[in-house]
Amino acid sequence: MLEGSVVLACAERAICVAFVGALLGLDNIAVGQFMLAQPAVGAVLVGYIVGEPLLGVWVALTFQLLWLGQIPVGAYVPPSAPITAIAAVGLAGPGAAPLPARAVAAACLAIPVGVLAGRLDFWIKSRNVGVLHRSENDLLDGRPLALGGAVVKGVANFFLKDFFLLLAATFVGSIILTLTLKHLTPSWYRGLAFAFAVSPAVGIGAALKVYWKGRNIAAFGVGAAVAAAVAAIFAFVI
Amino acid sequence: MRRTKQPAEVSLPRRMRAEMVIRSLFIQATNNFERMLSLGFLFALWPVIKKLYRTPEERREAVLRHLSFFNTQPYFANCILGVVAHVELRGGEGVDGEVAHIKKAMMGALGALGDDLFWTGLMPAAALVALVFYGALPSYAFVGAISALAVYNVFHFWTRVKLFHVGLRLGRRVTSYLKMLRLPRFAVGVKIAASFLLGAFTVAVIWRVAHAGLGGYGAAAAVGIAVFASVIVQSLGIRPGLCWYIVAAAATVVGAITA
Repeated sequence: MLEGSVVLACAERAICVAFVGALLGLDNIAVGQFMLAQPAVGAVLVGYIVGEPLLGVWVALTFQLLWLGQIPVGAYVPPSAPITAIAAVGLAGPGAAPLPARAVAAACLAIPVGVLAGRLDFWIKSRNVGVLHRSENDLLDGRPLALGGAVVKGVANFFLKDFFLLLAATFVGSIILTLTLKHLTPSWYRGLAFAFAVSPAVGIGAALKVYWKGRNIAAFGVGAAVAAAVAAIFAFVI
Repeated sequence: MRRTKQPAEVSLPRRMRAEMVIRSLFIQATNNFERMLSLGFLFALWPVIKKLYRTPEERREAVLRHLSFFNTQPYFANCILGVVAHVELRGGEGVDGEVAHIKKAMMGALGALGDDLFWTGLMPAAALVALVFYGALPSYAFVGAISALAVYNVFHFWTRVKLFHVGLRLGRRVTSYLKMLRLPRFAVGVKIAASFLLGAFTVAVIWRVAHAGLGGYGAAAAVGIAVFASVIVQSLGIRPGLCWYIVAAAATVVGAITA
């Protein structure tokens, strides 16, 4: 049975995540590219805002490297990593299930949202052709304000796309997860906790596919050795 | 039609230069499949157009000149913006052809260089700084996020601001300056640094898994198997998202059975 307080909590979280996520999402293409939208920063920031920084950290660990080196070729559009990560934080919802179970289940739902966001980016770029033609005509007719107007429209298109996508996905998805996760047995929770622990390794594999050549291999080994030595010293001191 | 008055020297007031750099942050706002960044480029260049061209005919000609196809890496676009502003300010015959030639000659090379340097070099390297931090000390995540932003944006703003100013000052001679910077070599170095951080991140993930109750050897084995599985599955042509589902499903089943 769906309680009103659960719906309200999911709605509050969805509105908050959609607004902040859409603002951060602007950094992905439309404005600046300061790295704010990247999962390593954006997911952690949204995690802090919804009061679950460790969820944001896990999402960053899982999604930052996953699509490294993926470029749009032919009909293939890589998912939007920033929107996937922000959606995952939102989708995990305010439910009572343990964090690992909520996080892994949310990530499962967030990947299709990221795929849709990637496709909508393509759609926005197609729509912007119309913005280009209209402002070109206005500029040639001696209306220079059209240039600023076109930029505002472009920014608004990207913002609204991310806002409504995140709002719908986070609201519906977090209600579904809140309703379903509570019916899982303890063994499922343990299984999801194990998936929670090892899933950042998939991103490491994706990054290794990009970097595994020449001197990078030696640098990877040196980095691992240095970190292992630091960890060993830390464990010994503790 | 040429503009009525030529400037005495190729320079711009500080305020106008700052305005152009700020406007360049929106260069991708109207990114489209027909002429890519052309409208954003014109938006960034507008203070120069407004300053130089007073009559509607002159402006119309300038608008047509700058709305041709333009696509490059957004940070390196500022270098081209500086060079084009230099050519516009210098004036004289043949500005039309020169602007078109500069854009065509520079956008491809700088686009490839910028993509390699920033999207597959500096961005993952800066993110890995944060990820290593998150893996080792998740409770201090904000320090990792701030470190990553600082590392990345030092290079980001240097590229945007410095290359714009150098382009504005040197015009087409900016290519000698770019050669001097040895950016392709720098990109190789950044990827080596990213690989080093990736190695450290792998150990940090093992550290996290070990503290989740698996112990050191168990954690190393679990992460090693997951990384190996990820590489193998992706080598078969399966995309990373699907690969994540496969590994997460397998880990859930293994975790549920063995717990």
